[in-house]
This record gives sequence, structure tokens and C-alpha cells, in this order.
Amino acid sequence: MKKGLLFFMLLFPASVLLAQKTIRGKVVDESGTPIANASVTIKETRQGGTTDASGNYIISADDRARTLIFSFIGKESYEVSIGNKSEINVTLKHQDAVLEEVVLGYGSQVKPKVVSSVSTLKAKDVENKPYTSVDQELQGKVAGLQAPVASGQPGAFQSIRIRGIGSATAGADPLYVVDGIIINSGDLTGLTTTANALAGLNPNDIESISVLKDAQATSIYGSRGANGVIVITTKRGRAGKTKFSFATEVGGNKLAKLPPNARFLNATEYIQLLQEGIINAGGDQSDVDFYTELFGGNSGVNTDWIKTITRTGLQQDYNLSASGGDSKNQFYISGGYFSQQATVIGSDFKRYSFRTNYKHIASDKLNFTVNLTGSNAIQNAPNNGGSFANPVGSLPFLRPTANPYNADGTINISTDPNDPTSFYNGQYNPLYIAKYDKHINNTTLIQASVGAEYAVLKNLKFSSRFGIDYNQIEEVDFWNQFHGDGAGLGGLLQTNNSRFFNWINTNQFDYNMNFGPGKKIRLDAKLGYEVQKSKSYVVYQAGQGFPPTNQLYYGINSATPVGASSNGSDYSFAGLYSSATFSYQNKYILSGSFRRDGSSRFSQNNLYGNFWSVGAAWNIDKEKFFDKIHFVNGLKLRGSYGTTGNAAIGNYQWQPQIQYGVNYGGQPGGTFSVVGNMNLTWESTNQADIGLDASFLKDRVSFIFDVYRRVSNRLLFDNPLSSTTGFVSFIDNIGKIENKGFEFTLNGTPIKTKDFSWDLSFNISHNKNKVLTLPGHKDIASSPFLLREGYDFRSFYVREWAGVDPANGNPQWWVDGTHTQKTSNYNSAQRQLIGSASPKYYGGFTSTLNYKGVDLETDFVYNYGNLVRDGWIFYTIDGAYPDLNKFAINLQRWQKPGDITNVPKYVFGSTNNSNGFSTRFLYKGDFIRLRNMTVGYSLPKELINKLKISALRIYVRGTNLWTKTYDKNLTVDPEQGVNSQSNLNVFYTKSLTVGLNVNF
Amino acid sequence: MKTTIKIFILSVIIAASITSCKKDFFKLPPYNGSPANGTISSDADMNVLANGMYAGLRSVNLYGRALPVKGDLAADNVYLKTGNSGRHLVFRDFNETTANGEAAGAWNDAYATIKDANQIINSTLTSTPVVDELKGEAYAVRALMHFELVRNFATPYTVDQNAAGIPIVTSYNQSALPARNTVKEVYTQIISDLNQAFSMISLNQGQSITIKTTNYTREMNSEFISKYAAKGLLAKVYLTMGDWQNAKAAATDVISNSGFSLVTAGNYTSFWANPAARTDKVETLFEVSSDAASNLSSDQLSAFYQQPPIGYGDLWITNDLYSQYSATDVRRNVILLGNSGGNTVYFNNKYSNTANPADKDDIKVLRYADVVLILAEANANLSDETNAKIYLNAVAESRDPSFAGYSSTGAQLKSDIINERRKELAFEGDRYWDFMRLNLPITNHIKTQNPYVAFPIPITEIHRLFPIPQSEMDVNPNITQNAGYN
Repeated sequence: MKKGLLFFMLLFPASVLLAQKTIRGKVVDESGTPIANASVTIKETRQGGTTDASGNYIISADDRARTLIFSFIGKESYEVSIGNKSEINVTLKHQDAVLEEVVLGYGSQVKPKVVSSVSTLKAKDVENKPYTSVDQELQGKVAGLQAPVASGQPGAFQSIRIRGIGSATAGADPLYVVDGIIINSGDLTGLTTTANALAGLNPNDIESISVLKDAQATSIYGSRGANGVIVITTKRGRAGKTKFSFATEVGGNKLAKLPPNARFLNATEYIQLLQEGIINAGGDQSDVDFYTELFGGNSGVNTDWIKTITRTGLQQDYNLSASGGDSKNQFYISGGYFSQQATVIGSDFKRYSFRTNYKHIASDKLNFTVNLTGSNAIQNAPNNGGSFANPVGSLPFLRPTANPYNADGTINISTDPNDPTSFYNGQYNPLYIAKYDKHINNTTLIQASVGAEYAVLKNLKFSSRFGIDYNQIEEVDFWNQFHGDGAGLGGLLQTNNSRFFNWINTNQFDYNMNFGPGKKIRLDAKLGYEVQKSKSYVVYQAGQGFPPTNQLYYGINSATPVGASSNGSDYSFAGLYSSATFSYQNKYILSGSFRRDGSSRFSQNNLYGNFWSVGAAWNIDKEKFFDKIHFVNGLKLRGSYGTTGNAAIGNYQWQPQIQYGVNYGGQPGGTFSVVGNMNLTWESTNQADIGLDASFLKDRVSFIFDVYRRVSNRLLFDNPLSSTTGFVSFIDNIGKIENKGFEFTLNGTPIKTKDFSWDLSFNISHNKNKVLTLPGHKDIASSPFLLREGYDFRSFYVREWAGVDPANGNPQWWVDGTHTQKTSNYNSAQRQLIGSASPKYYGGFTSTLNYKGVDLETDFVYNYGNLVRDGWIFYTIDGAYPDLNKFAINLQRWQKPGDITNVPKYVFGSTNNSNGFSTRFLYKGDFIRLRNMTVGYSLPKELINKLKISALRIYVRGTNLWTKTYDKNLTVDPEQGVNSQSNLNVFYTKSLTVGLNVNF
Repeated sequence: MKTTIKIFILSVIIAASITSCKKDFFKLPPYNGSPANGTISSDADMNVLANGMYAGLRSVNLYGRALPVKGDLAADNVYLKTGNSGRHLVFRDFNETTANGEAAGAWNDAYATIKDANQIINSTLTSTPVVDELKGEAYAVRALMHFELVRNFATPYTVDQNAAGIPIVTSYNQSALPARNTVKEVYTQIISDLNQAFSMISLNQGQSITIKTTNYTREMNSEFISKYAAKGLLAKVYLTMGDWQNAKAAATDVISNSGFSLVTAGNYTSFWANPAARTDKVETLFEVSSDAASNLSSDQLSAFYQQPPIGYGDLWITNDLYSQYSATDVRRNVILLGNSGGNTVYFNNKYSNTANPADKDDIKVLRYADVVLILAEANANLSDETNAKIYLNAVAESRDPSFAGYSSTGAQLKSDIINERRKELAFEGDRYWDFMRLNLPITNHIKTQNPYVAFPIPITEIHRLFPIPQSEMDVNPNITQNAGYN
């Protein structure tokens, strides 16, 4: 050490002796505007600096300096020989759009050479948005991608479908790749109502999102590309002055407007209907009196449960990041805090996150990268569906005469059957449940990778990366001992502690060469090998019998353990992948890829699969004849065809197994319970895509148009067996589904002046789904759907409502599809295949106005052509469940002969199935929603310069402020996930927030 | 040259990483299963599979809930309260379709358990006392499942022996598409299996055997089929066939040789409150285990009877049944009184351990009292009324110490025996099968008690039989549907 120091001291004077020279100058853009923060680097010594706010720079250079490099984001970098000059002024040209890099699988490609169908979102599209996970940001932004919200629970899992539904029983969600790591996505929890592994990633750290759609883009992901791939790249530092960025958003969430028909009866209306129903059921006055008393008609209580279970939820988001570095070391670091309370009590989400992305350039040939992100997300998610502890479920299931509070203001938890205002009939007081039951999901996420790139030759690069994706999930589900499901058990605690450890190693060669006449043909090729293993482990524990306090809900306090187990589930993949792109002067492009994948999920007889694609593009605008056409400045025709697989099948599905855990008499038991299939393998998709990209009037208007046909075959289905074998079915690769459609994206800048600009973006997607082959060509019931060859995969199988008989108020259904005969007997009406839960058309529309410092951005999403089902109206319409509350539409019931209405006679305890599933409860799912509206103001440059910051913007944002629906009968929000079925989930929120972004 | 070396080194690294990931990399065994290769390796292995087979009986579609509910609800012992949870409505309404979940559930799960029994029976392990014991119990389980299938899905033996029964399955074949055997053939198989069981099972309740491989002592308690439980089941099968001679012989064997006894009046309430397995040869010949770790949770039979907030409490006792019990009958002690809209209503309390964290209610499949009453009925039908009354009164007087005993004769005696069966075996899923084997209308079947809505079930009602499930009809061209179901 001492020696080293001495050596350094000896060397130091020598370096001083090197001749120094000062170079100064100014960097401007094509319009002469100075460029601040442009990087100026001496090529030979890698020393340098940046320009100041006026674009000026001064650097000192020694004798070794020969060349200066000027660079700035969005500009072409520029090299200039120093010679004897002491002042060098430079104009940086706008980087030509054609050189824009598009992130694809295992690398990126300049835009003209992209043959595939890829949609890209940039940081500005995803940062500072009030969404818990990045996938929620994609809705309406990407043509061909459908991402309907299923729950207002913050941190909820969200299904995404790219180009329709390509699988029936295996996963149909896309593959997610974050900085080269294929991550475990989806809902990884065991006890939580809904959770999303992606919610651990801070969207503000994201640089770009590429949605890979066609086979040419996805086949390099081989057996996992069939549902599309979402490639996420996080932010990097760039050489130059360290930049800080602070962003915050604070506001409140309120209940988004519910359809008018979602109103429930108040106490007076409820009792009125009850009494009428008793008379209609043949009861007399004594019955009326009896039930009026029993159901609280004399209690004077009138509770608006929707008010009781909703609130104004707080929303907070703080992000601070710094990025920068020099020519050798570049970094991006960030920290974030995000917190969102839903509008429904007991539902919230918090995330603490950080990220460090670091790159060290050791030499011209060698560099290293380290990416590390960690986060802790804490989610409270109440039950959904028919759970008696579901706060949203209390709307239909609690009578308006139940009293949430006692006279003294405390929460009422009486279950006294003689008190009609108590909670004696199953459903609990949601106030108490929300306060004392626990539904905690505490997830810690770590994603990290180390990588190195080495330029073996000038045109041959080797890169290697090792990454991990680690989820530690702690779940606590506690039912308190005083009220609710835990009463009678002395409280019940269930905990799940699960760990998902996923590692991936990727080694890749990238090679390019020019050849042919005049070396005009360029080849970009890659060859790589990737191995991945994911192991999960879960420990479950349950205990009951808790001390009589609401504070202690950990297992240590429980008297009796009632469950304990541990389990795990692993998978592995290994793949050899390659691709090659030939380009003739960026005019004619031919591209192909190949991947061979093996996986533990595939049976021994079918361990490896081959996947490939070919594509071609013609940049017509590069042709000579095109020079004369001035209003069109870009035109590209492309097409591709290829195969991909869907390996989102069960980890052990193929293996015939004796499974244990079927214990008996306190002793271990096992049975041959998994029949398996020794030939089971991935599902396979063939996809053809033809696309046209065009831009006009110097890019003021551009569009992207794609048509595609995806045929997914070898889909996993249960192939039925005679149950006398002891098995109902075995899993087999037999089904076939087709999706075909088009996508159209239009971008335009109708107005662009010095002070005023207006950008518009519109996209529309159409998908038509058709089931082609089913096991034995037989229908498969999947209530409320039916799978039938030739029909849409999500066709509702339902009796057709034929209105109310004006003569007697009875419900009527059409006997069959001919609509010639009506019946009041539910069971004599045939079910028909009606409509689909999947939309025919969907997309989004964005408008951005900028006037001087003011900006106004509005995002609309829309959806057309599907049907939506209220999944729980069975209990809340007509008189079948007279003890539960009812939708206010019951007030429109038939009352006397001649009444024309759609609501049958209200009969107490009716058994005529008028509440049974029929087209009466299917609604048009069409909507247009103003998903986001932001008004912002950025401080003018002069003021910013005075404040010594580089940008400051304040804004006000509203989300879900307005929704237009097209079915007046709707009893639920029309947006209900990919299956278009409501399940008493946490309501959507509309939020109003204010935000501040500062860069300095 | 230098570059060539670099490329070479890198190629070696890649080649090494590729070859290191050969097929072994893809061999990931499941955490909760072992490869099923069709063989049983040891007596310990067989024991674990036998436990799995028994656990199959606990299915919610079999003894776990559906079968015992059907036996009372489809008859006249219980009804579904207004505002019930919507479960098992078909047992009240007799409107099953071929898509009915109860029918398909029973069919699928009974055959799944038969598959588990067959795996043990067809094992090639060398005969040892343990192997024979377990195989014997597997024969009994196989017989029991065929018995439940044939009486649920086929015309009663007493009505038409040559009617279509159910497929007999004695070995595993994944591609099998069997036709229905006749009722007679099925009963022949059941009797053969139960005789085989009786000869192979060596343990009576309370005895034990040591499993060699693990040195584990397996105790024969009421949760497993002991020697005389197998014989008792045989008696019940003969009763169902109306084969009085053989029923008498089998029941007599149990009563004379098993060492079992009726529970005393004094212990009656605690007998039902106790959820644990028995080894004392009191009353319970065979019951299906439920315990703290392995139970059906909210789907337990007990939760269907126990009132909220503990259970659904969907089943209430008919006034007609309650009125059968005298005030001094100890069986009234397991009936709770409630109030609904001013009416007194009655709840069954034979299963009271839904919320007990330590143990859950076992489901009685065969009790000693049942065998005693079988002997009474067999004697009555063999015109030995003296002995019929001895056994009938043994049960009746034990339950009601103030009761002086039956003295009826002829048809009245037989009717008294059936009524005593009703009182004794109520809520244990037995009542419906008396109507079925005797081919009687269910005159006191009701839809609701308050208001009283009668819904008598004539013997011509096609829904007295389960339909062959649609799923089976769809895949198996050799099977025929029951009359009246299309």
C-alpha cells in the first residue's frame, strides 16, 4: 500500500509536466439554440466535461488529445480533430428518426431494420402515473394489447391479452422480461385476494417498454413467446453532469361513478317491496307484520352501506433519482415511495423501492454492468366474491336496516337473532371486519444482475449476464375472534411465507459484417444460450384460539395450531437461440430467428422444441423513385411468419404421480391421483403478420397498420376418460384456437408552432377469436361460457330473456333460438351461445396540448362489442332472497296486469328462477373512459435558470373522471377484467392529485 | 492469433455451460408426489396408500357430506331451512339432471376410491400379515363403493335383479370404457369382496399390527374396517338385497363373535359428542375419519347441521321425526330446539365439533345398533317374531329406559322395526335406503316445514335414482342411461 502511494507520488509530477492546453467553444443545435449539458470528451484520454446553460464549454487537454467527441441525447454525436485549434464550435444535428433504436428480445435494432410488430412506450409515457404496476399503464396505449381492469384493489393482478386469447387452460398472459431477466410474473401469493408481482417494480425507473407482438419478435423467446413478450428496460446513467430528478404526486381517491342501476334500496323502499312480496307470495297481514319486524321495518334504521364502506383514500408518490457519470462510470440511482388507499375500506398498498444501475467501461473492449433493484410492497386486500367478510359484498347482502353503529357510536357487532338491526344472517359488519381482520401481503422483491460485454473483434461482441429475481412474500390472513368468520373459532390466523428464487444466465455473441458488392449488405447476427431455474418454497401455518384482544394476531398467541405445511414448485428452462438480419442499404431487410428450448415442464418424450420465424421488410421510402414524393417521408412494408410456444403450463402436469397429503386418521396417506401424460408438451402458435408503417409531412402524421392471424394449437385440454377408471380426464395437447385481426395506430401533430403544439395519438385494435378444435369436437362447458368449435372462446352460454308477461308479471324466456315461443319455466328455455366477453374493438386516444409552459394531456380508453355479466345479481334482484338487499331497479317491478316492465312481479321467496342467469343480466360492455387528464405548467427557462434548476413542472391530474357507457341496464362498471364478469371486487377509484416534478 | 485464442476460450465456456445442462437439468421432481409407476414397494408404502384410499371416503361427494345428507333429506327426517345456502337442493326437489353435480361427484369419487383399492388389491407384494390385512380392508372398501354406486345409480335389487347395475371395476385401465353389469352381478361381486375382506382382515377393533419396514404399530380403531365391520357391512348388503337368511347369518356372526356392544343410555350424549376414533368396541363398527388437520372445513357434514355462526345450519329436523321420540328417549338429547318466526324448530346435534380445533366429527358408516336392527328385521321376515322383538327391543329399550318394549306382530312389527331404524339412524344417511329397498313411496317428504308444504315421492319417481353422469355418457359409448333421463 505504502509502495503504491509512493509510486503515485513519483508519477504525479510527471503528469503535471505533460503540456496542457485549453480548448473552448460552444455547442448549438441546428436552429442555433445552445445545448446545455452536452458531453464533450477527449477520445484518447476519456477526460472531458459538459456544456453550461449557454452551451459553452472549457476543457483542458494534454498532448495525447487528438479528437473531441460531442454528444447529446437525441443528437447525432460528432467527432472533430483538435489539431491546433483552441476554439471549436459545433452544431449537433438532430438524430435522424431512422436511427432510433428499438428494444427487441436480446438486444435492439435500428428502426429501419425492424421487421417485426413491436410497440414501444418511453419513460415519459409511464412515469408519474397513479398506477401501482407498470402493466396497468399499457391499457389503451398499445394497439393489440388488451388490459381491462378487474379490481380497484391497489396492487391487483391484471390480466393482459395480446392479440386475443391464445390458450384455454394454460396461461394466456405475456412473458415479462426486465433488463434481460425473464421474471416470475402474475399473482404469486397464496392467501391474498389479488396481488401482482409486477407491483414491486417502480414505474418511474422505467426507460422503455417494448411490447413484442408478432412471431418475428417473439420467436426468439421460443417456448414462452406465444402470448407476446413485454420487454422492460430501466433507466441508465449517461456521461455528464449529475442530474437529479424529484417527482411527487399527492391527492385523494374517491368512488368512481357507478351506473345508476347499481343503486341499492333504502330501508323504506326495501320494506315496501318486502311487504308487497309477501302478499304476492300468498301471505296475509300477519305474515307481513312478522317479516316487517324480523327484517327491521320497525327499527327506524336506514343505512347507506355504500357510504359506510367507502372513503376518500389518500394517494402519495415520491421519487428521487440521480443519474450521471463520466466516460468510464455511469450510474442511475433512485428511491421511491408510493402509497395508495382505495376508496373501499381496508384496501391499500404501499411500496418502498430503490434502484441502482451502474456501468463501468473498463476499456474500449470491455465493460461491466450491475443492475439492482429492491422493493418492499405492503398490500391490504379485503376478500372479494361471496365471502361474508367482503366489504363490497355487504352491499347486496346486508339489509339497509342493519345498523353499522351502536347507540354509543361504537361499531355494532351484535348477532342477536331477535334484533333485526344486528348481523345475524351470515354477512358481517364490514366496518369491524375492515378494522380488525387482517389481509396483509408483504412482498419484498429483489432483482439484480451482473453482466459483462467484451468486444472480441471489432465486429464480434460477447456478453454474459447472470441475474436473479427474488420474491419473498409474507402473507397474514387473520379473522378476528369477536365478529365474522373467526367468531366461534376464537379467531383464526393463516400465514403463508413464500419465496420465489429465479436465476437466469444468458451468454450471447453479437456479430456483424458487411459483404457483397461494395459491401452493401450488412449482416447482424446473434447466437446465445440461456439457462434458467426458478424454485419456490412456501410455508403455511394456521392457528386458532386467540386471546380476547384485537392487538395480537401472530401465531405465537394462538392456543391451537390447526394447519402447518410446506411445499414448493420449481421449473427450469434452457434454450439455444439465434437470429440473423440481412440488410441491403437499409432498403431490403431479411430476418430470421431460431430457438431450441427444453424445459422441466415438458414430458420426457417431448423434452425439446424448436421455434423459428422469418420476416422481411421493404423500406420503400429509400427507393430512388420515392425522392419525388414529398408529402410521404417514410413508408415501410413488412411481413413475418413463425412459430412460438406457450409453456405456461403446470410445473409437474405431465408427471403421473402418487400424491400425498390425503391423510387419514392422523396418518399419512397417498393416492395415485395425477394421471399425467408422458407426451405432454408446450402449446404452439403459428402467426403471420403483415404491417405497413408510413409517415407524412415530415413526420407530422404517421401510422402503423398490422394485420395478423395467430393459430394456437396443441392447446392443453382435459381429454375426458370414463370416470370408472378413477380419473375424469387427462391433460392432453388437443385444442386449437384462432385469433385474427388488425391494429392501427395513428399519430399526428396537427399544430406545431413556436409556442403551441398539439399531438394526437389514436389506436384501434380488432380481434376475432374462433375455437377451431376441441377434444372429441364436443362442447366444453365453462360456466357461464361454453366452448364450441366455430365460436368465440368467451361466448356466453345463456338463456335468452323474453321480458315480463304483462298479464301476470311472470318472467319469460325464449324457448329456443328461433324466438317464436316464450316460457315462464326457466328450465324449459334452451341456452344459446350469445356474444362474447372479449371486445371486438378496443384502444385508446391521447391528446397533448402544449402552449408555452402549459400542457394539457387527456387519455381516453375505449372498448366496444363485448358483453359484461353481473356475477352476483342472482341474490340482489327479484324476491328469491328476500332477506337480502336489492337493487333499486326492483322498484320498476310489475304490479298489475297490463304493466309493461322488464322487472317481474316481486314475490317473497320466489322460486321461478327469474334471478337465474339469462341475457337479462348481460350488458353491453361498450364504454369510453377518460382515464387520465392532466393540466401542467412548466416554469419558463429564464426563471429556471435563475433558480439554478433545469426544469420544474407542476400539474393537476384526474383519473377516471368520466365514463360513457352504452347500456342503461348496467348494474356494474362495464370494465370487469378479461372475462367481463363482476365479482364484488374493490370499486374503481377516481382520483384527483397534484404533482410536482423538478429536475436539477 | 490472440483473437483466435479468445474465441476459443469463450467457445469452451459456452460449450461447457451447454453441456452441463443436460437432461438432468430438466428433472425436477414434484414436492408433493412421487412417480406413479404402478408398483407398491413395501408394506409401509401399502399402508400409506391404504390411508389415501380411506381418505377418499371423506370426499364431500361421498360420506363427507352428500351421501349422509341424501339419506335423510331425500326422505322425511330433515328439510332445508328457508334461506339455506343453496346446497343439495336436488335431494329435496328430486329434479336431478344428467349434469347434476351430486350424481357426477358420487360417481367420480366412488370410482376414484375403487381405483385406489384396486391398486392395493392387485399389488404383487408377497403375502404377510400386514399385506393381507391391508388387502382385506381394500376389498371391503371396494365392496362398499360398489354398494354405494349400485344403490344410488341402479334399480334396487329387491325390485329387479336383472336391471342395469353399474360397471364393476377390479383393475386399472386408463382406456377402459366398460358397460353396466347387472344389479345381480354387482351384488355378487360385493358379496365376494366382503367375504374376501372378512377372511383376509385379521384385526378386530382394538387390536394392532406392526408394519415391518417402519416398525410402526397400526392400531385397528373405528376409523378402519375391522374384521367384524366387514361382516357387518355384509349384513347390510344382504338386508338391502332382502336376503334375510344371509342377513341373519352375517348379523348373528357380528353379534355373537365381535364383542361389540350398544352404547348405554347414560353414555349416549357423550358418545355423539366424542369426535375421536374408538377402540372399545362400543357402537361404532366403521366411521370415516375427520380430524383437526384433515377435514372438509366448511364442507363438513357437521357444518351443514350446526347453526350459524359456526355452520350453515341448512338442515332442520322435520316435526314428523321429532314427534317419534318419546320425552324420555335419550336420542332427544342430541336434538336442539330453536325458534323461527314463532315456530319451534329442531336441530340435529349428533355432530357438534365443527368449531372444535382439536378434532372433528367422524362420519358413522356402520353402527352396532344398525346390525342389531338388521337381525331383528331378518328374523321378522323369517317369521321368527320372538327373536325379532328381542333384538328390536334391545335397541329401543336401551335408548329409552322407560320404554316397555314393542309387542307388535306381523306387518306392524316390521313397521315398528323400520320406524326404530328411522329413530336410531336419523342423520346418518340411512332412512332413504329403507324406502328404496322396500320400494315404498316417501309419503312424508316435504319441501318446507313452516309453512308446511308436502311433497310426497311416489315409487314411480324417476329421480329416485341418480342419472348416469352426462360426462360418462359423453365419453363411454357402452354405457346406458337410467330410464327417464335423456
